[in-house]
Amino acid sequence: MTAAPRLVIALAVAALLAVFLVYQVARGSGQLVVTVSQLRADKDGAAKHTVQLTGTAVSCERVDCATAQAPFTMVVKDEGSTQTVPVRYTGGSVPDAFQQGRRIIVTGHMVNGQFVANPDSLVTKCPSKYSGGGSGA
Amino acid sequence: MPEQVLGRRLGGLTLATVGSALLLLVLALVSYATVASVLAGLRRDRRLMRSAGNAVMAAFVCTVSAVVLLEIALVRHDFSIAVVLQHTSRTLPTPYLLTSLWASQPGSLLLWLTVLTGASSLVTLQNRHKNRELMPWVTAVLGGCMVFFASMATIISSPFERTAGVVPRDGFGLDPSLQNPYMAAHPPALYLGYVSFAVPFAFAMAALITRRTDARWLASVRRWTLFAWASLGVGMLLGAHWAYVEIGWGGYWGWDPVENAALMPWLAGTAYLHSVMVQEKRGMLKVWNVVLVTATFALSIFGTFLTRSGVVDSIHSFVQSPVGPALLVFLSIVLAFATTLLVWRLPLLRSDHKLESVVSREATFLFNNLLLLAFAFVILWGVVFPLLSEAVRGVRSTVSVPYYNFFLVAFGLPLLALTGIGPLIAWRRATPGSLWRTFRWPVISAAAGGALLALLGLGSSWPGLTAFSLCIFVTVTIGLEFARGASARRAMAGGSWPRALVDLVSRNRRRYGGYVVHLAVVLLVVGIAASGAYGSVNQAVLKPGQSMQVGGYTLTYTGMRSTTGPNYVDTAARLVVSRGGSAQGTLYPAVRDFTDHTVKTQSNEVDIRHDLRGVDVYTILQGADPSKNEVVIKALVNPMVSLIWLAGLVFVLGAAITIWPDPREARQLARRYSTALAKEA
Amino acid sequence: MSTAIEAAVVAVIVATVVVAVAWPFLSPERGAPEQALSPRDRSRLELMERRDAAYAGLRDLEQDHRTGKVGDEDYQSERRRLRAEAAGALRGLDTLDSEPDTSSPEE
Repeated sequence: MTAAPRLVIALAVAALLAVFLVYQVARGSGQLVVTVSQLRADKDGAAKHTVQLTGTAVSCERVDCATAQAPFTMVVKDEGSTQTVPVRYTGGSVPDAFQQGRRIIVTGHMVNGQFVANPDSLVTKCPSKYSGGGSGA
Repeated sequence: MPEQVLGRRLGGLTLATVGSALLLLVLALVSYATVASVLAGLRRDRRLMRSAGNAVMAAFVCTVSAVVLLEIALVRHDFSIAVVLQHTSRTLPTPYLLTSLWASQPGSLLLWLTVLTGASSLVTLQNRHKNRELMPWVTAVLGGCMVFFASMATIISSPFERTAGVVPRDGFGLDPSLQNPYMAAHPPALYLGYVSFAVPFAFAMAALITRRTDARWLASVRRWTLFAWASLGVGMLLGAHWAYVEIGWGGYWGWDPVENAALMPWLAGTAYLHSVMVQEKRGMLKVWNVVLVTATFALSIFGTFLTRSGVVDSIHSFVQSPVGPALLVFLSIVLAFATTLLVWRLPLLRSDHKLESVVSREATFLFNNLLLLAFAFVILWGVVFPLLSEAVRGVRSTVSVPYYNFFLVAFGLPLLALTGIGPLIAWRRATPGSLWRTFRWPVISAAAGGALLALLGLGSSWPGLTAFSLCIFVTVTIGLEFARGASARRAMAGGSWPRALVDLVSRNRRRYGGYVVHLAVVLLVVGIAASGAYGSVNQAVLKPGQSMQVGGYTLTYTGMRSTTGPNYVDTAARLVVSRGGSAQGTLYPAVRDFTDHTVKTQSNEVDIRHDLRGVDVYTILQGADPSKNEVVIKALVNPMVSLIWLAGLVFVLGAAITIWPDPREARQLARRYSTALAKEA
Repeated sequence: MSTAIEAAVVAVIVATVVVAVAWPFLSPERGAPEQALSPRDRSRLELMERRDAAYAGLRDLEQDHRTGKVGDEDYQSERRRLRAEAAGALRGLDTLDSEPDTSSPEE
């Protein structure tokens, strides 16, 4: 490659890197993904910001989780501990795979000891496709 | 023990035992093929090489036999085999019984192994009488991959593992979201893509080992690369369509890590398909192409790792299993092997020419590569960011949809522009005069079209408007290429316009097939930009007779309807669709209760109306309260989403044109390599 | 009974596979032994590739000129360059052909 094209290519690479870095600096370091115990412990200020909460839905208030429609309240438990947190799913679609005992991710923030989830933010993981053993599809 | 269960267990033992034995035999065969082909390469022993080739083909036959046995077990409801129990039921329709083979981890690994042994067998057959110096090493590399996946299917995750304890009378059923034709077709299409990228990688490594840096291996693998790339693209579109009609949030792409896992190798493959043209025409970018083909294959393995390891949170992700660490080890070996070879043979990969001007087709392809790989890197960063942040700070952080959408616009729009510039710019150097001559009409058309669209009210989204303007630019360049090419053809050979067009495409399949693929990209961008930037959404609680408005449409709820299927009952809301006072049809978004699951299982079945203007009216039954006689309806108006699916068809057409064999090219290659062939024959 | 059936089926499959894999050693050898490419052959291949790349470049140049992508002046200068490349490759091939072949296949 002769000198001038080489310089232009180098500038192009630098420009792409600059776009990436400027975006990272401007938008901050992403959204926290926390477990129930981390949320309870306010790790990295999780209890004061909008975060993604992961855990297992152990029960739904007054409804069967498999047929729950928003708004409803569920109890989410940690995988690694016995800590739980009530989660109020205020609106939006409920994934087909959502059931009691399923691992979920939901986005929201803590209000007076209850996790208030944003509408349409509930994601349920397909449990049995690649799991070690099936307990229901 | 009940006689029925005993009978099935006997049948199950034979099926499972023979199936397991077949997979062990496959492992033995591919291990032999790997060792034998290495020895054949070192000793130049033709008999040993033929024996290795026969072992590969025998492995394919045995793998297909194992698949047939598992399919028989699935259709016969042989619940003594664990995957049959966990993923099917007696009332599951037969087509889904068959496709449930790849619903499980072990079954999908078996599918992967089948495609890999099949591709390796086809490569062996295609190269019976050519590439004799390369083939032992091609077979050795493919053999190494086959050994790995056969080990996984045999030792770590066997599809013939037996059910522990008493065998129940019925299975657990197939996940409702997988009972959809698009989801049935999506994994095989993806695997054809992922696995087929092993072939160009194997040829690249073989070329480095044998110091055959002439371009013969490029010609040999071009069709495999195109096929892999096209399959992966189709696989992603099938998955997107499934998400649109089945998952039911109104969208088709969520930047989920597993979706990204397929997009990354596709982007790297796209970069490779362009830069390899520079190597063929100008003898440049040799090192870069080896890096790209390795990166594409490595990203395929990494994608598989992401899907199966459970290390990142995703709608697809699953519990952690030994498959994940094994894939990571395999990936490390692949990267170490390729890097070692590349560094060792670096002196042989000098470029024949230099890049002389940034205003040239070579430079355009180079910029295209930079943008594609920058985008792939950004996606990779987004996928691994939670892992990196946890390793550094002890708590996970994630990036979300706005991150990806920002870079889609930032890198995608310049890429779109290059899609129009590349075909029209000359190799080596373009002069300002030629630039103006070639780009005058596309630029004027794009500017005029953009102005018109802004006047029509599409200026509310500047990325959308820019995308549409660039689409006009690209479409005009493609149109000009076809028109000028056909005109030149007619001037030379006479005949009608259609004849000239057919001749033009037939004589330049790569070029004009590529232009058809570019047209598919234009359709894709229009569909994504229109639905992303100009859609509408509304949600309402309705009693019978009440209406809601969305995007210029009126939806009136008139009551509920119940229908029964083979393994489900649907409860649907009847919605009458009208626009401007005239009736447009009826929609029935429903909730589906499955009757064949041990645990109560429901799914949302959306209903979509596609109208002739290219607008989708998308309805979701979010809830129903019989006591209040109310339903909750969410409705979206998605403009131009159908163009995305049409783009898939055009993409397949373009890829087929580029892949279609050219007898003239084959003769030329045979003439060129007749010296080598005479030695090899 | 079922164990016997399983063993028989597996034995038949294994026997078939062993025969397929061993067949090249059992059947008579076809054709001459493998030979590697000599350095002279590699040079010839490289020159032929350069020649064919120049020819392909000329074809593309004709197409680009006919469709207006390349102007007359650029066309003439690029055509001269590509023809010189092709001529250089052809001269190299002629030189190779006129030299006696004393190289041996690489080990």
